[in-house]
Amino acid sequence: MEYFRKDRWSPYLVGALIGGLLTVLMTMGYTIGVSSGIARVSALLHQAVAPVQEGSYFDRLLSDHVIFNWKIFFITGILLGAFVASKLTTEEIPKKNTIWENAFGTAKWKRNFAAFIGGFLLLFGARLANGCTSGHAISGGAQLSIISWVFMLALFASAIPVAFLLYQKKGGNNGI
Amino acid sequence: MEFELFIKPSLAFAALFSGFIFGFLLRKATVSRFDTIVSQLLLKDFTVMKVILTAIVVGGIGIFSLKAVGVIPSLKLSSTPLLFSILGGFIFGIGMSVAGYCPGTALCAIAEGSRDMIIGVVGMLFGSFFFNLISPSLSSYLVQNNFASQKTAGELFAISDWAFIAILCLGWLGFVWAMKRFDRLKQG
Repeated sequence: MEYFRKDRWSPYLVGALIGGLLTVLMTMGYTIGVSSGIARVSALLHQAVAPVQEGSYFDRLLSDHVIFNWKIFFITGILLGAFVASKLTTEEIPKKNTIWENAFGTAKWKRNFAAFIGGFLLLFGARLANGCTSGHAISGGAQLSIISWVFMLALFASAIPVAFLLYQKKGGNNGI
Repeated sequence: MEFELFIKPSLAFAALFSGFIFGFLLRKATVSRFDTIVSQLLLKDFTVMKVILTAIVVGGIGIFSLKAVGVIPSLKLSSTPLLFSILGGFIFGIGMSVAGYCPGTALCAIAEGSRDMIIGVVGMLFGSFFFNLISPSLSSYLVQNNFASQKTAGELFAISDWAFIAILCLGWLGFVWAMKRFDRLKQG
């Protein structure tokens, strides 16, 4: 039980357990996926305000005609699981945003603005590619899906240079 | 449209439980933190790659083994034109750098108390909304250009998928070895 109190588990152990989780889910006909669940929340909000356009992406997403479906419960579970994992931790937790603060300071509005823009691009890109880190990289990667591996390469091909551009120069002691 | 409120309780519980485990594990890998994700992108810390590659190797062995004995009836491959996958990956990568998270880890960040990612998820809702807006104009392209979609590496090259699993395993061992060296160097 002591291991549950630790702040950080071995990333190899975590990866192996996620691989196991994916295998079990596949026996039930499911994969791990997050971005479609978030898109579904957006679709439900849209539908609550005004009916979604026929033939649109949201229309296809809601074609199962259930409000709280597998995806919604799955992303709710993620929030709960991460929350419990945090609460169990008794070790001291290091500062979480040092790289951001070294580059852009501590002004909250800047971080919030970047979070919004980043979030927008994340889901737009994920829906275009039909998957995100969990759906494409992990679930698709393990199934040797061609488009998933292509997605993963494209992801890092843009994310790494952009990260160096944004965080490296101004970072001072962020250097390698 | 008429909507039912819930899926079957057994399915709802299975989804909640598997999501719980996934979120728990992501948090314990500390990928719920901006510094962990961006350190990966700055090639200073390889936690993210360690998690992803190990999950792929273990998942790959598990999935193709259970498929061979019929416990997993079929693969579940996502479908999109190759071009969209590349373009989407590029846009997603920029978003990952700017936000400092991907969608799943952003949820974990919120659960760990990072309020900025509440705004981040609002951005995600708008990103989905924008994709939905343009989706009708994409639909004909989606149907026509699907050649690499829903293909495994084995199918594309007309050899056994196990060959690629073997390559992955070897690649993973090389990665672990390189990481051992890298982490030792980093510690000084």
